Amino acid sequence: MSDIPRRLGGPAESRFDRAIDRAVREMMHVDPRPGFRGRVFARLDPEPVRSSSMFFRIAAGAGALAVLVLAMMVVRHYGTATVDVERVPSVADQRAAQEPQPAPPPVVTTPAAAPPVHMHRGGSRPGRRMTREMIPMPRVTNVFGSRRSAVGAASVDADAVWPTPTPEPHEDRPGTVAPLRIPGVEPPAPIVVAPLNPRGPGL
Amino acid sequence: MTATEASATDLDLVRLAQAGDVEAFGELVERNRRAVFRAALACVGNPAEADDVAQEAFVTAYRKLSTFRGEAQFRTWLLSITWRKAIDRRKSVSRWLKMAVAPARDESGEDAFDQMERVASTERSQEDTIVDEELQRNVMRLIGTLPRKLRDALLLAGTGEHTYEQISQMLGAPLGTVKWRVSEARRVLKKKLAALGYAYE
Repeated sequence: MSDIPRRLGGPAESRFDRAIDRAVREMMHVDPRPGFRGRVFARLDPEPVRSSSMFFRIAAGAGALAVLVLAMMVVRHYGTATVDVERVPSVADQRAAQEPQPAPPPVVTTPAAAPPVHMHRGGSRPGRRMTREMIPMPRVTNVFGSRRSAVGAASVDADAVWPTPTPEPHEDRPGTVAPLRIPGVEPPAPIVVAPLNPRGPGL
Repeated sequence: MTATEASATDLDLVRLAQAGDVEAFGELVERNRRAVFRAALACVGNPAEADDVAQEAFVTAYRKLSTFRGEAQFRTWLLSITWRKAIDRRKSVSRWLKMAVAPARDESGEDAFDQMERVASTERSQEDTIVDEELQRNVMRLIGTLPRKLRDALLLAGTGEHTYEQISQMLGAPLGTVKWRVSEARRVLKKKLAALGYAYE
């Protein structure tokens, strides 16, 4: 240090240059620790240089396999899983519970239909459960009966004799009202109206 | 190392390594380890980290060896890989966190540039012992305060292993810009030394 006014003159510059060169050289002229080559080889893959196309082929195959396995897992999971839904009973549900329930209709199941399997995951959860299990539709016979006993135009016998319908009396006919008759009162004579004379009466 | 490998050029060794000759790649490591290490050291400023970065650079080069076509020199290509690795290390979050928790000081109280100074001091020549030790330490400390771009150029130019063209490739800057940065770094250092009171004696 010095109190002399500092000027970057020629000799001072050369001194500074030497100091900088020396400092940089000392900082940078350092060699790696011994055994560098062995440390590099320890980090190399045991396999030799592999072409990039081979790597991409292996990566693509592994990726496709992973996607396939994932898809199978998803299908299995969502195909049979049970979804537990917490549901608050509505007013309609409460009324239906209070009313007497009709006997359940007989359900005809096919022999092949397996009983519904309840696959509840997760244990005891309160509330109503809505399952996504498969419920087979009952096989019901024709509600209109056998097709052979049904009436059809094609089944009418052409030679059959059908009775002629007779008109029913008024009294018997439903939906008609008989003329009003009051006992002791004769019905008035019918009023006959003469044809009008344009010349006047008596002419 | 065989006699053939010793006389072979870097490109010959690269071709052998590309064909699966691991020993040829080992010879490439031997030939370039110092240049790679010093480039990493100029960037990260810590010999231990520079050693690790240099190893990573060689491993990456080995894995990408099939992509090397020989348009550029192998060393230039290798130094570019090294510099990218070193920049990544310098920017890495873990390093930043380490610096934030213990700001550039290790258990012995030394920072990265102190360690560099200590390592370098073991190799001091007879000529260096006669110079002003205090000035020397101050120059090293001031180098650590330089802007990144100026410091990188100055240290890479001072390694004695890299040409200006290779430094230009590493830094991704034109040759003239690199030379200007080196000159500017020296000018800033001189100015700071003068501000500290150093003058001609």
